[in-house]
Amino acid sequence: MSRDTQDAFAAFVASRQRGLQRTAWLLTGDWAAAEDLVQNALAKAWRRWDRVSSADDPDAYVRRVLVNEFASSWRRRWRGEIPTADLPERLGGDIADGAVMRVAVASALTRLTKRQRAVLVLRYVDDLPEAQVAAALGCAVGTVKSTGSKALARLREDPLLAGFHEGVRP
Amino acid sequence: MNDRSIGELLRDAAGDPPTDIGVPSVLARARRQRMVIAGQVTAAAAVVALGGFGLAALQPGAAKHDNNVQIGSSSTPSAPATTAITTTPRCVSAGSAMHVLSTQGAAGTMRVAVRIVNTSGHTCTVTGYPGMDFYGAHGWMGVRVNRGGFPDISGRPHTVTVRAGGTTYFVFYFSDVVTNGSSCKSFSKAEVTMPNDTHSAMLATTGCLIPTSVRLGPVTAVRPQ
Repeated sequence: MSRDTQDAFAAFVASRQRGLQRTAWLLTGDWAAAEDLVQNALAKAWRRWDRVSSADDPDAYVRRVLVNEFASSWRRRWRGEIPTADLPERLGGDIADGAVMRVAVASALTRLTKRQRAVLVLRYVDDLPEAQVAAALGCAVGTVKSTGSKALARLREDPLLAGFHEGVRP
Repeated sequence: MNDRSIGELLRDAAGDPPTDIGVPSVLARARRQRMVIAGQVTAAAAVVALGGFGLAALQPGAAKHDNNVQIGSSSTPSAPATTAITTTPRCVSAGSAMHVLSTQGAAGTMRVAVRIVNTSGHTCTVTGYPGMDFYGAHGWMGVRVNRGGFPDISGRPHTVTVRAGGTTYFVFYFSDVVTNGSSCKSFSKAEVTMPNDTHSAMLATTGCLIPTSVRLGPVTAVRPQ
C-alpha cells in the first residue's frame, strides 16, 4: 500500500472511529468489546481498502462489517454472562445519574434481540436511512420498519427507562 | 424529565469512548487476520496433501498436532519454504483448577480473589471475563454477572499466555446486604466458565449473596492484593 493510501485510511479512522465506537458500545454494552469490534471491522476494511475507498459509501461498508462481526461474536458468546435485567445494587455508594442512565440504557438494550438493537442503533443513532440500514443488515426495508417499531415499543414499556424519558419517540 | 428521542437517549448513554483507536493497532490486526487466513489456507492444502500419503502420517514418530496449528517448512527441497505459524490454544475450564485465594468483606460487600492453575499440560492463552454461577438450596441460581464496577476490576482485559502449571487470577465482588425487601441467598459452591468456553470448572466457596450483585473483573496475570 502506498503512503497516500495509508494516509487516506488514517484520516478515515480518525474521523469515524469515535462514532463507530459509540455504535459498537450500544450494540455490545461494553467499551472493551466495542473497541475490539471496531478494530476488527477497520482491519477488515483496510484489507479491502481499494474496494472500500472507491465505494459510494465507505461508511456503510464498515458499518455492515461491524454489524456482521457483532452477529458473529454473539453466536460465539460463552455461557455464564447473562444480560442483567435489573439495575445492579449500589455497592460502592452513590453512582452519578449519568452512570445510572448508561447502565439502564445498556440493560434495556440487552433485552432486545440483536437485530432490534442493530436497527435502533443504525437508524436512530447513526441516522441512516431505512434503505441503508436494510443494506447493512442484509434484509428488506419492510423488515427494518417492523423491527424498529417493535424495538421502540419494547423500550417504551421498559421500566428501566421509565425515569429517563416520557415516551420514547423516534 | 424532558421528552427526548430514542437517538438522543442512546447517544447520551453512550457518551464518549474512553480511548481512541490508533491506526497502527488496526494495521497490526489486519496483518494478523491475513496470517490467520493464510495459515488456514496452507493448513487446508496440507490436509489435502496428507490425504495422498494416507497412513504414513499416523505412523509412530509422525508429528503430533493437537490444538496447535503448526505449519513448518516443507521437507521437499524444491518446495518453497513457508513461514512457521503457531496458534496457541485458549485456556479452557477442563484444563483449569480453581481455588479461592482470599476473601475480604466490608460493609456488606465481599471481595473474593480466585487463582486459576493451568492443568492442561500445555501453554494456553486467555482473554476476557469468566462466567460464574452459584449453587444454592434450590440448585444453580442463574445469577446475573456484571463486569467491572470497582477500581480493581474495571481494567480492560488483556491476553495472558499461561505456561503449563502457570497461574492467572480474577476477582469478583458480591453483596449480602438486604435491600428492597429481598434477602441474600446462601450458596455452597460456584462454577466458573473460562472466557469463550462452554464448560465450567467448580470453585469451592460459600457465602450468601444478592443474585444481581455479582461483579467481576477480567482474567489477569497479576496476583490480586
